[in-house]
Amino acid sequence: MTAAVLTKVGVGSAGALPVEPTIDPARAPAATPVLAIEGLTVGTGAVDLVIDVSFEVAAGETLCLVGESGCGKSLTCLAAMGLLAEPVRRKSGSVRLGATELTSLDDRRLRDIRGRDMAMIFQDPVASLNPVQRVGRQVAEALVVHEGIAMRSAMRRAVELLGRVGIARPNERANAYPHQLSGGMCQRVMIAMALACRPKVIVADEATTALDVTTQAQILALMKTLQDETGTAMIFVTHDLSVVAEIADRVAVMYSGRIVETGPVDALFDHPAHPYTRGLMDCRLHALSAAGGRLAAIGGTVPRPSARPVGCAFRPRCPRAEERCEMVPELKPFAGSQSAACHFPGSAR
Amino acid sequence: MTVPLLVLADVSRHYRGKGGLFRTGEAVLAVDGVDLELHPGETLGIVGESGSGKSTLGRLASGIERPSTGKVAFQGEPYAPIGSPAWRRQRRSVQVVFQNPSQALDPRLSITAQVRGAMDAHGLTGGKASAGSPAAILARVGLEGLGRRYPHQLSGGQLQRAVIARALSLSPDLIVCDEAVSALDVSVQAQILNLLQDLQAELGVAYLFISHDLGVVRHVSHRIAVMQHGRIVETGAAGDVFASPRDAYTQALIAALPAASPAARRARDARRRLELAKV
Repeated sequence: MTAAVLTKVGVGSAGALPVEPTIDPARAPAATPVLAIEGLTVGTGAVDLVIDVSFEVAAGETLCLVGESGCGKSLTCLAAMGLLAEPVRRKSGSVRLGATELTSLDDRRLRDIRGRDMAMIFQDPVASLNPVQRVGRQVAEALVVHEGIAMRSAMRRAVELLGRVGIARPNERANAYPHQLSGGMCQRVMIAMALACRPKVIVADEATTALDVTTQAQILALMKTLQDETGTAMIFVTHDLSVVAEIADRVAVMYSGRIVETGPVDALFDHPAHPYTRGLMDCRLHALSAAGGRLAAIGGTVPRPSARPVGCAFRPRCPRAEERCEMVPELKPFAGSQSAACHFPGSAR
Repeated sequence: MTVPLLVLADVSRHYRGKGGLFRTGEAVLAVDGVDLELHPGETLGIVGESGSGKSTLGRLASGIERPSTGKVAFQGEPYAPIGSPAWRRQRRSVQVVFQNPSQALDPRLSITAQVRGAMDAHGLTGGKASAGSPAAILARVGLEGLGRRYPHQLSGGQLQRAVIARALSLSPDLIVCDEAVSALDVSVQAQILNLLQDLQAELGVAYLFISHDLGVVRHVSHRIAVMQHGRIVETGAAGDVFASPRDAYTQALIAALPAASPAARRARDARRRLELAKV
């Protein structure tokens, strides 16, 4: 019985398919980006944690930020949202939402924009929700604060939103406390909250990492469907390349604070240009591909930001490294709209 | 057929549920009538989602916890009462590696001291039964020259290597790995999986490998058992379970796996659209 229900859920997630792709998946970023980050450097004291990061996302587009832990993916997102906390601060660079430069806004103006035009979804939904407030009210709060509507009508909208993110019996569930819901349900509440004010950009930081595979499949399908409906731009942080294969239009690979490769998702999977991207691709494990044998591991670990090697930070782990790599490689066009920060992009090892 | 290293026969484990102040909750059946066999040198993978009972199964298999009903036999004998001399012997033969290595190590002791401590506790230091000196064991797991470091001075992957070294120092016959690589980055995960496979080839140790990650389980396991709601819904050779899953739940798990590439995703979505159109 339960197995039957679960099967239905599995197929149900497949049922929520995105509409037939009408756009060339290998397209370049659209002309008018919703969010543009340029030359962003974030750090503490003398140590830089994010170095000279630039990217853009267009309406309806999903950009995935990929890399191992400690590569600066989350800090990049927090900096974009204006949520960095001392001692970590933005040292230089610009963050533009449409025509508005966010880095020059004061806290009050920034608070107006956050939650209304930009929303963030975190990895741990249970920790991100207020444990002593009913979830419906938490979703409604965003509407009251940003759209100035009365709590009564905001609650009605909240119930609608909970229904839209696939929560059954939203009327009842709106009265639940977070601990009464499963992790997947709580993440749906977070998505409802993020969607409440129809933001232009959603930043999702490892939003499905803590979820089971079946729940992850449902949440990813849901986010895609909602994106198709609303045209929201999405920045999706993940370390999981199969999640990237599911949702990304474009990808930016980060290593030790820098973007080392960027391009359309198909190009990155078909011909990764940077040895780090290739390394990540090679050590993937997929249950449906042939098993056995030794895995291609990337030796060593990400260097601490305070102890980066001179030149290319990937050099000590790179099978291709040469003397030239003691110079930091620039992010240069490689093929089509793919770029890589490597002196020997795309070369076989 | 060899004599099984570990046998679970109709094993169940229930916990008293959460109740209110004046009422007892309903009993929760974490593991429900499980039958399993594990042979020397074999890797048995246990997959399931959170709450399926796979960690409880791991604790029952390692003797840390005892079944409510049913029998667990390790090398033909039930686990002895905790604290007895026979239990100490069994404890040495069965080791566990958990998800979070920083919680599994003592922050105040160097890595060498922790490995030596485990060996001392079982009277193995300098003895013939041991796998070698702490330094040799640390070198074997790729921590050469790092023995004087403390846990906070090592990365996540290095810490998990230290935990594996401590387990190996006792020359165990079985290592229960409960989400042992789940917290690690993919590149480091690959390093640890390679290490575990090398050690098995060299030492003939058996693994009960528990994970929610089907890709990882498929890669390391000879056989796989799929768990749902405390029961084993399907067992079989690793390749067979994924190539031709018989149980509906296993099929749902596999259908939910993310695609291996964008091209595979498009092919799958097109196939599903076609199936939906047929319905």
